[in-house]
Amino acid sequence: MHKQPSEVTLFLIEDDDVDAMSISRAFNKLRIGNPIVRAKDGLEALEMLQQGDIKKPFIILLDLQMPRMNGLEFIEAVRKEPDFEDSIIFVLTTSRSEDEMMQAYHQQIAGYFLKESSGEGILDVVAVLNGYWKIAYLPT
Amino acid sequence: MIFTANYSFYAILSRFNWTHWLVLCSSTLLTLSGWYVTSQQSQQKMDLQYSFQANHLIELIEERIRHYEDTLKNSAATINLLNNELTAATWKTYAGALRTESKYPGVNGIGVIYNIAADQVAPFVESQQKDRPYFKIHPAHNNNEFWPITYIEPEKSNLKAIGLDIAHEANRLTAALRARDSGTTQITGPIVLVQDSKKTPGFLLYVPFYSSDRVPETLEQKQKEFIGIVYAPFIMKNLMDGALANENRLVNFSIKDGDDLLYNELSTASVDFDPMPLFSETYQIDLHGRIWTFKIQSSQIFKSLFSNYQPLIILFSGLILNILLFAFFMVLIFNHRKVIDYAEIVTQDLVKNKQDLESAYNRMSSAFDTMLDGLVVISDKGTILEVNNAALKLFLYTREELVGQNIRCMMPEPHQSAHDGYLHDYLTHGEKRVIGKRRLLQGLRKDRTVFPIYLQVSEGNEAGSKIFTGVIHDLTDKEKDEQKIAEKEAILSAAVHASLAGFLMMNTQGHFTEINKALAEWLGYSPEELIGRPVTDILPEDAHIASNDNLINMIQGHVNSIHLEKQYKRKDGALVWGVLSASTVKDKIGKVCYIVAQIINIDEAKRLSLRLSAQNLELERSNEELDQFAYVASHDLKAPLNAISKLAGWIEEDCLEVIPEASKEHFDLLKSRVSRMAKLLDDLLLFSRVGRVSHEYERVNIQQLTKNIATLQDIPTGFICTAPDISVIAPKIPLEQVLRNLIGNAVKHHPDKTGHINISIDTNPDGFYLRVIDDGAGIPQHLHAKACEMFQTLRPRDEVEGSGMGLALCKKIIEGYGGSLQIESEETKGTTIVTYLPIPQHLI
Repeated sequence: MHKQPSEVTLFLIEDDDVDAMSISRAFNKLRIGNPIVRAKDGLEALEMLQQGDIKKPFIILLDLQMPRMNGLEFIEAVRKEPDFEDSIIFVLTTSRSEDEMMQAYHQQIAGYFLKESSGEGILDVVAVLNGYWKIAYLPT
Repeated sequence: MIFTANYSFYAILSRFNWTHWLVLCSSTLLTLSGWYVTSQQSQQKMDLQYSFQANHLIELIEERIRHYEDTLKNSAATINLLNNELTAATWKTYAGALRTESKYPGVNGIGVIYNIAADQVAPFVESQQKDRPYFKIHPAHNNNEFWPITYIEPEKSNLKAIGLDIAHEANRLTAALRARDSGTTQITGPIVLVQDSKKTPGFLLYVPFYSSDRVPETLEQKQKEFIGIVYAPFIMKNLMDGALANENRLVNFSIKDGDDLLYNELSTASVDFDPMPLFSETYQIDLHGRIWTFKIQSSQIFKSLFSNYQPLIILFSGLILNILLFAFFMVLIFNHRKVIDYAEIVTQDLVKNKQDLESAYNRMSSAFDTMLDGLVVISDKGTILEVNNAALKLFLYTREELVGQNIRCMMPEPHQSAHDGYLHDYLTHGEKRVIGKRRLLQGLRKDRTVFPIYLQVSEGNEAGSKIFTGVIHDLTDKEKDEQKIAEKEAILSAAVHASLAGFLMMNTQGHFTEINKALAEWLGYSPEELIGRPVTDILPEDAHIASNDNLINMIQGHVNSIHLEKQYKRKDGALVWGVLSASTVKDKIGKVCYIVAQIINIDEAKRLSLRLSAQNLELERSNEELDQFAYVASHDLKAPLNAISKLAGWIEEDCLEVIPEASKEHFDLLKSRVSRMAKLLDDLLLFSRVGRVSHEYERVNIQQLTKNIATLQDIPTGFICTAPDISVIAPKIPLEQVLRNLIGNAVKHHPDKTGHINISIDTNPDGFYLRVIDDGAGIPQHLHAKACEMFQTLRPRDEVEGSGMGLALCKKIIEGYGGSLQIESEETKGTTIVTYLPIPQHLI
């Protein structure tokens, strides 16, 4: 039953290279060895899931504003996939819009994080994720 | 008999009077007394018969026993005659001569018992055995006396009894001793005879005999001289069968000796037994030393012979007679009642008809009296029979003055003299002058004045002669009315045609019947051109259906009037705007006959207003777009800015060791410019959001709010912020935003390290003033307007960090609530920002 923390994959869906890089840097800084797989938008992410590129267990860290298929559209699509409807999804976005936050939570996301403009905010988010998969049991 | 609902049983019963009841009661009494007397007689007869039958039965049995006793006594005397030397052969001869079986049916035999002392037994037996070797005494016992049955005839059927010692059994012995000691005949208690194979009850009848032929007198002598007993055994059933034939018996009975049942016919096995006897009595008879209890009850034959139904027949036939009598009375009264009721109904009908006639007459009279026209009824002689109130008022007479007069008095000459002639001509030649037509004539009042009338006469019949009814309509006021109406019409027409507003009338087909000059000219027609044409001619094609619907609604009375703005089509095809007010005109019975409409030309005004609202719409849209643009732009601009900030941070982090000092300074500048831009974008975002979200009003304490802001803003020590403890009703979050910006500005722009910021509140029912007063450098008058503009700072940004949007933001928020923001300041004497929010302070 219990999964080793190193087995959990972080599936990062983020169009901004710098933001993606800041996640990787945070992993390095906090010495977290879990694999990170990145998709550049919702559509690509969906295709990767369907092709089985992402090994379970994994958790998704999702940006909302993305080209082609945005974050909310992606959540909706994933919840209709029989194999991935139970995916754990965290949202990481610059959008402070309450409307978008409510929409995301209505689709059973696990958390909604705001990208800080600068500083060490991203470290906190990554630390939370690390703590989460260390103690939570994930769907397989 | 059938009783209808109107003639119910009880209703008729209540009509019985005392004679009916007397007859019914006495008849019932007679029946009952007849029944009583006959039933008494019948009972007496039965009593007599029963006691006769019972006594006869007992006597019969007593006599039979007496008869046997006599025989036994004779036998005892015979034994004495033979000097007590009796042999079996002699006894056989003697008993045979008696022929007991045929003569005395019921007896089982006749025999002799000797009393033998114990010491004499052996010689006695020996002497007996000479003749009869089989003789022996049995059963054996130790008494000193022996009582063997020595002889019994007929011997054959009584063989078991020969030699039987009766001392073996108490009932037999007791009765034997009693017979010896009394010298009288005795009967034993109930026993079972040894010779009775069926073991039924029976008894023995004893007669004692002594050595002399007389019965000794004393007990001692009796015992001494006693020799034996002559006896007869009886089976009770045989005795009774012999004594009584059990056929056609009127009574059945049973016999008991003490508690022992000797004989019983009282069971269902017996013929003619009656389980519910009419009579049942017990008798006790003393019979030779035993008390026999007879229970005798009447049999079914008795019942069938003597029960008498006569009393019951009398009773029932009497009662049936009474019921018939009662029914007869009922029928009689029922018919009587029906006749009376019918008479009552006929009477009521008559009364009602009379009342109907009277009320009809009254109704007619009052109807005539409420008529507005006069009404006069005359006879064929011209005499006035009836006249109504209106006629009296017209001609100024009273009723008493007119009724009975000739109709002549109500008309002027020449008709006054000629009227009798008119009547005569009509009645003889049928020449009609006024009958059936409406004629314009003149009436003559009591005061001799003459006035114009319409007269209409009709004829009728009353009791075989003709009568005439005249209706008189007064024409005096008619001419004046017509003149007034004409005047009104002229005024109305002038008003309508002179009016600058459009006016039209149309019929229920939707065709113009009237149209004024103003309307016709506006639409490019002359009035004559339009009259008679359908209303759709002045409407654009796409409005025809709606117009028709409106027309139908109005004609059917669903809608009385309509008011609406619509377009009309001019003769040249151009469309013009007008306001239509149309209403229906109804006739007396409420049916719509015309539609009147007024149309006012609003073409110019309407066009202006349409253009204006289109422009407003455009303006709103462009404002919206602008807001949207600001929001998106600032949002999207932030993303690359974040990236720049991060990348700079990483370079600094990764290459801290290798970059020269000057570049480090440049990094600091880069970071500060990035953060300024971020602040600018944040404020721009905030600014664009103002007014997008609506906030609820609540009670806000200004002192509390100021304290919170001061804590969060991290105001430098040395600055004092004071506020009054007053609550206002306001949207809390926008108010906090304004106050935070104003306090922040006051601190930021203050030239000294210490300062005082005072906040004051001034409320009135319609709103409140919020003042933020500082003791800073102040703002010169000519810069006041500029201070409020977006992105304007009054000092270089490198000296005072700021986006230059704070005041603009405050102004936008305040103005969003319909309020105002002003700067009151003189240079060097501090600044006061005055804001006013027009929010009523009595809402909560």
